[in-house]
Formats: sequence, C-alpha cells, structure tokens
Amino acid sequence: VRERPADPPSLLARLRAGDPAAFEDLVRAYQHRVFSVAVRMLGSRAEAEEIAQEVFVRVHRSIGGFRGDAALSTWLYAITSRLCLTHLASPRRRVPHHGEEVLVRLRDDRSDPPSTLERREVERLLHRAIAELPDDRRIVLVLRDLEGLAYEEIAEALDLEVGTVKSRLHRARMELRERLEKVTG
Amino acid sequence: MTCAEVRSHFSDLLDQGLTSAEAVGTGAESPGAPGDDTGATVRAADRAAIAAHLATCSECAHELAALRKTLALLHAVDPVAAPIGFVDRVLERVSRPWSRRLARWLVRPLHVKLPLEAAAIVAVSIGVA
Repeated sequence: VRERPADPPSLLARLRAGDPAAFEDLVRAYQHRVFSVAVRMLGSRAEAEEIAQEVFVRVHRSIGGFRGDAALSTWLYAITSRLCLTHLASPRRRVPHHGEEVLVRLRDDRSDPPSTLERREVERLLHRAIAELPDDRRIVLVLRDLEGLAYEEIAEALDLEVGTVKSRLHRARMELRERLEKVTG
Repeated sequence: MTCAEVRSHFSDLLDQGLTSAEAVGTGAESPGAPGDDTGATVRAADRAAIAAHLATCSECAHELAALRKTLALLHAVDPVAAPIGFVDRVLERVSRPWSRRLARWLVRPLHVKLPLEAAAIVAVSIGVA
C-alpha cells in the first residue's frame, strides 16, 4: 500500500495563529491528494478541479473551528469525500464522465514489463472497473487502496463504523476482481 | 469454514500481507503484518481454519490469488497530480470575497446606494459636530 506523507507538524498551529502563508502551504501540501480523490470519484478533471477548489475554500472558511481531534489530512479527506458524494448524488450533475478519458496510469516497476499496448488495455479496464463501482464502495476503495488510509481513518473521514468500512471495501475489491477477471485470471 | 466465510476474510488477510495458505496458517495473533497500520485483524484461530480450507479448496485458493493480483494492480496506480496553476486559482478564490463585495457595492442601484450614502454623510456630520 502506498506510503502517505505525514501532516506537516506545525501547519495547523500556523493556520490557527493566522499566519498568512500557512494557507498557501496547506494547499501546496494537500492539493494532489485532494485532487486525486476527486478525480477518482468524479472521473473528470474539470469537475475534480471544481470540487477540489471548493474543499480548500471551505477549509479556509472553517479552519478556526477545526479542533484538531483528527489529523489535518483526515479532515481534508472527509470534506473531499462528502463534497464528491453530494456532487455525484446531485440531480443537476451532468452525464457521468467516466470513460471519456482513462485516468489510470500504472507504474511499471516489474522486471518483465508488458508491452505498452497491454498496459494501456489493463489501465483502461481498471479505470472502467473502478468507475463502475457504486459510489459508497468506490470512495472506500479509493481512500484505502489508492490513497493508503487505514480503516480507522476512513471510518473517521466517512463517519462510518470500522466494520462498515471493512465490508464495503471487501465488496468493492471482490467486484473489482470479477470485473478484472480477464487480467487477473 | 465454508467458502463464503473464508472469502469474507480475504480483504483483511491481504491487508495483513498474507497471500498464501502457508502464510495464512502461520504467525501469532496480531493486528497485522510488521509495519501494517491498516487496522486489519484476523484472529489466529480463524487463520488456522482458513489455511486448512485453502489447502483443500482450489477455488478459494485461486480466488485469493486473483484478488491479490487485483490489489497489486490497484497499488501500482500512479497518483494524479493537481493541474498546473491550481494553488493560484484557490488563492484567488479565497481572496475574491472582498473584491466581490466592492464590485457589488459599485453596481448597486442608485435608489439603494443614495439613501445609504446620505445616512453615512449624516453619521459623519454628527460625529464631527
């Protein structure tokens, strides 16, 4: 599972103290993580940018009220997840974008890498398989298997019981495994 | 254990880094493999039962191997970077409310603006007096 960088230690204290540079540092530190979750959930870079910007606008507005019970990153993941799920459920949302552009790219660190054509095909299948998961399972899979959060952090971010996180993750992985039958055997 | 019961533990086993019948059947009860901070837990007694099942059920063993491959693919997915200029656009958005308020004031209709300006002049005059 992917290693996640830790929260910059003094960032929260600086934000609370009103350090004008702290907010910019926060956006720089977390922009990729927030955008990554949004793009995996929404399947469109344009919509992901819209939501990711909104995440930071809300953080800017409410940082004074953040008690720090959870890690800063968990709080950001919570806001991002909630905004994505609300957006996906909105009747005003345009037609789903998944499938227009393959947003999955695989690292190639194997000694016997597949051909580019094979890899593109696997990326396409994986992209589609993730996109077709139900939203409430996809968010758990994204946070766990793509972002590397622990079960407890996911439970906190999504306001769920750990047991619910585990069962949704299990079902998401099993569904993915079925959809990728061609690749995984 | 039935196949369904065994398979219900697969996610946790994989999060604990246990991917074969031999690995599942060994090791003490622990919250996870060394370095694992996922919170995954499969009791030692369950692990022994799962290992015994996997040793005789080729379908479940195959299913576990396929799920392991699926996870390996997921873990090889590159993160997506935020677009260039994202930080600047966020900073522009959070600093916009002031300029927006000013713009709203400038375009406010006269029947609203004039009484407010008159009231301001009166307030200032009283203050000076």
